[in-house]
Amino acid sequence: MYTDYMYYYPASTAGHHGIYPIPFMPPCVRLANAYVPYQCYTYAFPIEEALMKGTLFPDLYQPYIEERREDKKCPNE
Amino acid sequence: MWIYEKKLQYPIRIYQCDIRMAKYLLTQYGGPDGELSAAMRYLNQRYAIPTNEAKGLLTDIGTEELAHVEMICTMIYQLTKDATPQQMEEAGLGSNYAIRNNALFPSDANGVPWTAAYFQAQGDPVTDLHEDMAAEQKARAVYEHLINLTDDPGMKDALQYLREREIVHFQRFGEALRIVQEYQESKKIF
Amino acid sequence: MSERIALLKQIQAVEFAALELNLYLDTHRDDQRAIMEYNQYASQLSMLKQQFEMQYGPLLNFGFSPGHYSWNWLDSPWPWEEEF
Repeated sequence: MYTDYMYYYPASTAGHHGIYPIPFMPPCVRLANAYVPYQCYTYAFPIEEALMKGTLFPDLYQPYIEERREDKKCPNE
Repeated sequence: MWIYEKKLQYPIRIYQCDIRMAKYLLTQYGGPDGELSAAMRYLNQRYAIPTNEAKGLLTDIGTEELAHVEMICTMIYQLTKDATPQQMEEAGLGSNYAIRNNALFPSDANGVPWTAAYFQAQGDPVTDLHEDMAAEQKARAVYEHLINLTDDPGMKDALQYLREREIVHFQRFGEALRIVQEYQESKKIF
Repeated sequence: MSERIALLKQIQAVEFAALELNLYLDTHRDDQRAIMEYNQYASQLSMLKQQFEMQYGPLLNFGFSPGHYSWNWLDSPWPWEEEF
């Protein structure tokens, strides 16, 4: 999956365009570095739904589901 | 330069008069993982961080966090505005009432006042962005605790919204980190 | 639900979409499709705000919205008093 070469992009003197496009995950990763996947925008929620859910992007919608926990019982009860 | 828009970002509707929640919500106002800490952290870090993407993102997310401060304060205000001293005492807010009636003040749920010690600016972009990502995760976890503490459907909705915003912010800071990583790599090529 | 609240909620929805695209574009500056969508929401937002402000007063100050007699920027409800 990851190749051995150090540099993904050719040397460029062009301003900000030198680092784009950025891949979903980098092809060559280093130890002791953290990488977050790069979002690829495809679909959006309808905007009223987006406001209620908290995001426009279905890919980023990760709702919290409460767990039903039993009351903790003391060990010698 | 900041402009204020006279409306909430999200339509908050509280159904129950559960004043205890006002005490717990304080932690997302003036607590270590609250919206005020987030806003101050990002708006402060944006001056010295390299790459325009990071400067823009810290400015924009910092501004959005100020809107979230307003949301949390709105919830606390609506819960306590008509409370009697007895109701405040029963909800565990007796000391708050004694000091300041129903006025808001940035502190955590235990009354510890907000401090700039809740955030950092190390000047290293990788470090600062990791702090921002950690802050978003901490806020997300606290919102989960707050959701567990309430039964009010309107309050749950507002807290779910704020929690989802933390997830999106984490993603954006992660992408800014990728950009900074690429930028630092590209600087090594001559 | 009053008309004012319905219009305010519409403005909140469109503004939220623009904000989400704004944050997305901060890290995806070359996404032309996203820029176009952002501009569509921006112009829709501008129309909705004008409509709201004509009937219910300014949403912005410091010169960003027109003011009316007698300086109704000050009028209730303020956002934390709003009942949705």
